[in-house]
Amino acid sequence: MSMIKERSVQNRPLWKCVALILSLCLCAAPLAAQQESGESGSMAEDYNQGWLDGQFDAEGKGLWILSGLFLGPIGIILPWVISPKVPGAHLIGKSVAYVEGYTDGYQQKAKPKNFLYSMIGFGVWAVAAVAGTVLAVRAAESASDSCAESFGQKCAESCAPDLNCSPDLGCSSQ
Amino acid sequence: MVCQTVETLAVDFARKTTSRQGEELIRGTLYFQAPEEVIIKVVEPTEQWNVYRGKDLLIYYPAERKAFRFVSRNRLMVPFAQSFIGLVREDFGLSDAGFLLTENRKRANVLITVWSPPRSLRSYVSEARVGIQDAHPLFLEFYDPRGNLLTRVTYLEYREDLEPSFPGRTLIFQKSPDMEIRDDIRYSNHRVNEILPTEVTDFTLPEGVAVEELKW
Repeated sequence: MSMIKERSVQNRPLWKCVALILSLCLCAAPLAAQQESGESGSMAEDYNQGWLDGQFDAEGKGLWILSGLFLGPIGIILPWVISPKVPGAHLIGKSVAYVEGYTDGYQQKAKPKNFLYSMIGFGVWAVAAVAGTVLAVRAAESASDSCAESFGQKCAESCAPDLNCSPDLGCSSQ
Repeated sequence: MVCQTVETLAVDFARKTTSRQGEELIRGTLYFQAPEEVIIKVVEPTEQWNVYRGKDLLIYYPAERKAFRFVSRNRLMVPFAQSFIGLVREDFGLSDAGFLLTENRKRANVLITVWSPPRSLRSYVSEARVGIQDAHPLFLEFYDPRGNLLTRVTYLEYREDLEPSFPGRTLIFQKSPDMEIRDDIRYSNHRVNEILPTEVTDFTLPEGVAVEELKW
């Protein structure tokens, strides 16, 4: 019994130590979690700010209008294949999360705008193409009409009334 | 006048930026190596390397082991670096950027040169103006196609003890229809034509670093 007692007495400082360590850990855990969530919260904040700044800076370069104008349907595909320009001046001293948000926001904003600009150019191209086609058809029709008219007139002038003036047979006597 | 005699340049900087988002302070060191390599090593608020080589920009984060590479068709026009690096060129690097000198005029004792932009920039920039006083660059301005001021860089507090002399402070004002940004950059510990650190001259990305490439 004395051994047990002695064991108890001998183990008390150890248990006290363990209890102290456990209590310290329990106190530290919320702080660590808070710090971790604070860091991830800061990263999310940086990403969001970068996203907003990237969207703000995306200007949808007007040069994309030219690609649609001269390349027709091919020009419309270009904005979705080639990443838009992303300026880097605003990224000096920024965090990784901010740069990621900035480039994502900029590219997402710039591509539709560039596509829109390209569509404007394509719209102009399409109108020009249609107009050109219509003019060409009308010119062809006009040339055909005037040719038939002039042939008919010539036949009437040169042929006698009793002659058969059908265009495919020419003037012939009946 | 600061010219081609500068082969290397290293200078510490503290940059205070004021915009609609508030104030921001960035500290680091700017390195220049002729003919056109610029490395900006940021130490505060985060460790970051910005490596400009002609048409490429590489941004590297050692702690995160992550990098972004921006590849541009046109020469980079980064106000912060350009405003300082321009000083080591007779024409402030404008010729290399495609600008053409169109006019010289004098106002009091300030010589003003006017430059027209390359075709690729004419939608955004109508002209650049450079002011020089007593052989020192005084200001650099960019105007939009409507004649409104886009960016103005002012050079102050020249270090006359250096050969060639460099400004100890630059003020950069950038304006758009929706916002204004003001940079106040103070330079110190200027080192001209000294041997640059090997971590700068031999800078390469470590193996295993994730690189994200973006067309710029």
